[in-house]
Amino acid sequence: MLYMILALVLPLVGGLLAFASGNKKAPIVALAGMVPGFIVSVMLLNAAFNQRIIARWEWLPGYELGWQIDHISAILICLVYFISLLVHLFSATYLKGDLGIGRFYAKLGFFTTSMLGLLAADHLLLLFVFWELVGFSSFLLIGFWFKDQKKAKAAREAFMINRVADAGLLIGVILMVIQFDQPFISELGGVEHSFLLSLAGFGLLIGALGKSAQFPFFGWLPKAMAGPTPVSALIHAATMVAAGVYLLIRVQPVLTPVVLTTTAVIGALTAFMAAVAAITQFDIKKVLAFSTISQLGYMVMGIGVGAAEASFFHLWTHAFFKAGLFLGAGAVIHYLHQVNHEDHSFDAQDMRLMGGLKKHLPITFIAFLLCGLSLSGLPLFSGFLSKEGILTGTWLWAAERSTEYGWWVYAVSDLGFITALLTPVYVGRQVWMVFFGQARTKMTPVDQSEPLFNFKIPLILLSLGAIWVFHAVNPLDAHGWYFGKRLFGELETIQSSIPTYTLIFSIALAIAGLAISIISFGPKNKRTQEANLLNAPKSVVGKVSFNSWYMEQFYDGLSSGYLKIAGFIQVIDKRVIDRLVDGVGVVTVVSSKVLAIIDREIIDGLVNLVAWISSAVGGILTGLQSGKVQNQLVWLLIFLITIVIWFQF
Amino acid sequence: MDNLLSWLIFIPFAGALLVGLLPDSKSLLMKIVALVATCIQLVLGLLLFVQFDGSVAPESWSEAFQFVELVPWIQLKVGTIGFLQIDYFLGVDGISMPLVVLSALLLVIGVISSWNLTQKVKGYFMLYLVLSGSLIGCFVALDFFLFYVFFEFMLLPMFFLIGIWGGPRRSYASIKFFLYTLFGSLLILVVMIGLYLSTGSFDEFGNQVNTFSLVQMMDGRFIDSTLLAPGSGFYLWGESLRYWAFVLLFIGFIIKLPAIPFHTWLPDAHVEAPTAISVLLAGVLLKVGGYGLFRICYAIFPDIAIELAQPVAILGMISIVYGGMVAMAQNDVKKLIAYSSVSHMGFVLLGLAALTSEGVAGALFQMVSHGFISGALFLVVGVIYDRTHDRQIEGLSGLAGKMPKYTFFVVLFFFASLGLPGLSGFVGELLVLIGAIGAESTNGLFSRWIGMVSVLGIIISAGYYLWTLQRMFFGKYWTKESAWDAKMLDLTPREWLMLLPLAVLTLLFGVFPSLLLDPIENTMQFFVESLLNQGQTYLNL
Repeated sequence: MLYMILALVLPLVGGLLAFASGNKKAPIVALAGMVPGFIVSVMLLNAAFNQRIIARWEWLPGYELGWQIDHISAILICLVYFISLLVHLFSATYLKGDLGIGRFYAKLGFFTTSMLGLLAADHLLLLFVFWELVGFSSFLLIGFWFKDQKKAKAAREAFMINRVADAGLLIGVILMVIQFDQPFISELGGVEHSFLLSLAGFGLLIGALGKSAQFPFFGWLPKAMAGPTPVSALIHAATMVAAGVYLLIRVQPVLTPVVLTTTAVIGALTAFMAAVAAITQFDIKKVLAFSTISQLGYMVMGIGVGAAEASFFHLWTHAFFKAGLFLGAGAVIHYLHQVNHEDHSFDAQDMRLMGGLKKHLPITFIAFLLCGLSLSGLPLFSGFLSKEGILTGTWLWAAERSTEYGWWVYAVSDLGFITALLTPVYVGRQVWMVFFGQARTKMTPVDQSEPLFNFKIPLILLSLGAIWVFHAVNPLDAHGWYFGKRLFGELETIQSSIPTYTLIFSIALAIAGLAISIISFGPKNKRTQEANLLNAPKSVVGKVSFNSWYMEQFYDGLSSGYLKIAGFIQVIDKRVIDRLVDGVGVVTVVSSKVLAIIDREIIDGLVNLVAWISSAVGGILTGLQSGKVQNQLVWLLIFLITIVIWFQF
Repeated sequence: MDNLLSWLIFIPFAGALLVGLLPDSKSLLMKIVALVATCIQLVLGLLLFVQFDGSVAPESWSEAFQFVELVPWIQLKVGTIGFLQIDYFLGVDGISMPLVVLSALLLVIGVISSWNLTQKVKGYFMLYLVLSGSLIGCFVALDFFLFYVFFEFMLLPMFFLIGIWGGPRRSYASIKFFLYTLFGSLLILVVMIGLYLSTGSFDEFGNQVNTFSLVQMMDGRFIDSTLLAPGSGFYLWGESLRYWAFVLLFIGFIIKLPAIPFHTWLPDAHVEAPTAISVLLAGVLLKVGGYGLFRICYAIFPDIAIELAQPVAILGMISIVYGGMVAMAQNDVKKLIAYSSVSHMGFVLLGLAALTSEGVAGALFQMVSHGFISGALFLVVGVIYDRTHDRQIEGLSGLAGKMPKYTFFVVLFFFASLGLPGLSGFVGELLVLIGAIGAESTNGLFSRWIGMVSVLGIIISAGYYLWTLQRMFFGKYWTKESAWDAKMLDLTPREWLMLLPLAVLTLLFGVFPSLLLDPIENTMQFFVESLLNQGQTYLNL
């Protein structure tokens, strides 16, 4: 318990203290929170391996929200700490001199705590709470340089796309609450499939697709690259985007077959689409963003086909090599900023302006290369192991389901294999463009291009994580990775791929992809190399890839359509509803004016008429009352005679 | 403390009197009197909160109230009808207690916000204090007649406060506000008379004693075969009179709430009202509408509430979506927030319609948290208005760099309003949505699709708030008029004093919602159970 609380709050406390202690001391103070936090998280891992930690707390009347740290969350907490710690370290140099560095560390600490909370949440509602906080802190970090309107816009758009998916998640969670009363992750499962359960499952799936940047939500991740690069390494590569996959792994016991199949299809589709998009990008971070989407697609697909453990393994290995790639990109960008810092229009993320950096940034080059090879899925690297597990699982799933669903299920596994071919192509292209060939801008050497401690240590540690031995003994088989047994016990379902031919197939694909990459972008043919590397593609496929499947245009269309509807409703509100009210007012006023006229001219006139008549009559009658007794007697006589005559008839 | 509720009502009245007696030149003293009066109110309000016993689990409404004060006020023998009985009858339960405390808090903040007022200070604070007393009176009155008196009494000061101290189109806005609300209260008056004629008992001499007591009405002490007694068989256009009475009350109160299509007075009134009055209008006055729905419309007509659950829920849903979309199209920040109020009050309707314990508790929580948040949002806009006398989103850009502390509060309250977990806005919306989506399987009042469509509200509200943030606060610093530039300073201590408590409360209730939900839980439970039981009984008559 104590470990858990400490582990959860230390990053936030460190971040807030960093903010309070001013820009100069901020990195040190924040690290002073992170380092003990990391140690605590390791102790927590140890404790959780012995016994699951559970804590419950009544948040709302009737809602006991719970925390749980089991093997899976404990190990991910360690992972988040590890990468967050390295990013804290890296940022100290990357953001040196930035006036907002204190604010940066506060936001980073807030993010880390939110992410840890998400992993420690047992109740789905609590998970949703941290899910949103993670999205919010990501918004703050993407928009860190808010003075740049473009970056502020990117932050908003990323948050909005997430929010749309979160609405789906909220519906899913509420439907789970309705069906299970208290949906604790640790107690899920064992229910009959029903329409309502599928509905809930789709809600949860939509949420996961949003956070893990899957089709049709993947457009937000490239936008999120507007944030500082170390942030991209932590949030948009290793941790937050994995939250969707994590959620799916957790709720997998209640996902109905129809939901699972949808999951597999969307995952495969996203893996493929993003890999295609990655091939033609010029922004060093966007290539990495699309590769992240593609790899997350693998994980999602793996869950859909029932290979959740393999997906988890991929999540784990991916976190290392992708964080490594991002920090490598960060080192490159940092370097280019330094050598070109007089030129403000210079785009330090454009790979067309790079080239030949391997001699300036040797350590970065090696780390980037190792992580890139791991991403490409070459044997002896960690990425190969875990991806292999997913592909094997998908293949077996397709073989099994094809009798039931028809041949099309093979399309899912085929998309997986095609992606495996495409991955090395874009990785190779990126490595060539950044590190090989001639420098395409002037590179005046600076001292300390790779600050020893802050840059090199994280890069070296993360690139070690790209090598197989740190994850499993056997370099070719994911079955039996170190944590597999501990995390999933005897239930571990990663299929051993040794006897199947998917193993050979994927090795062949990875090598073929690398070969294509070398042939198209490599140094052999200078002219084609330049053309392939530096010009925006003109073919249809190229354009689709370059514009990343026109998702941007799709969102823009949606949002401008929405704005039009909103504008229209606003007009209705103003012109119709409000006019009606005003109309009622006008009618009332007009009718009262009319009434006033009637009142004055007719009713009052009548009264006046009556008055006039009466005064006229009165005038006549006044003559009668002259006060003379004789006259009155005469009148009385006339009156009496009249009455007498009246009664005669 | 004895007669706590009376003190709460009459201290501001006494304050108003005192302000009135002061000579015109002592404007500072008037402000101090107003501040002291409202501060005492706040202290008493907090005392009420602390002393309120949440463990009371009532069996009937007559047991549900605490701090009860009952003094006969008017007793007349009225011909053949019987006795006219009007009581000075006060009390609070879990529905009214949080609203009283909320009002007391916002009233203090309103005084602080009006501190720089220079024009006609005396009139302003007199009216303000009269408003303060009437507001509290509205929430604690348990006699319909007394409630109605306070309800009407609120209207007049509000009319003048907007009409005299308001913006350029103040006379239009204030008259619109006044007539609209007056129309609503006439509808309420009609039903009040009907209910009076139908409620009561017989004394030992066999005389019929009619009463305005809301408690008796809620407990269903109707006189057989009177106009509004259940099952009495009076019909109009094919529906029972109770049905029409519910509809009239409902319209009367949703004008105040407000809900579509009776909301158009709100944006105008808000835009023209001075900041402090906007805070009260959004923070407290709208809640009178919601409170009326709880206490009168729903609790007295549970049968119709069940019958009309689906249309009411749909109206809530439309308010949520429609209000949010209209907010998106606004350029004036104050108008934007006014429309967002319409959207957020839609959640109150939706939660109430569900008649599940989550939905109803959520509706009440939403009212309280919307009180903090919208109050704070109007203060936040006031900060800009004080400096520029303009509120157009397009007039400013990049404020975050220039006024970071101010921006911190803006971001906090914007995200609280769009329902970020950890802040109070989320809790209300979450509970309402659980209630609305769960209603189908709990009591079957309406389809779960209504709740699911309402979830769109959380996307829509994120849309307009983030867009506003991006346009006004992010990007390069720029002001439309260069003269503003010198005035764009960060928060003054007075502004801190207004915003900080609300920020703290928003966070506190977001993280620990049970602070509010625990004391009211029993009332909510009873409210839902008795409504469903009573409603079924009435329907079977």
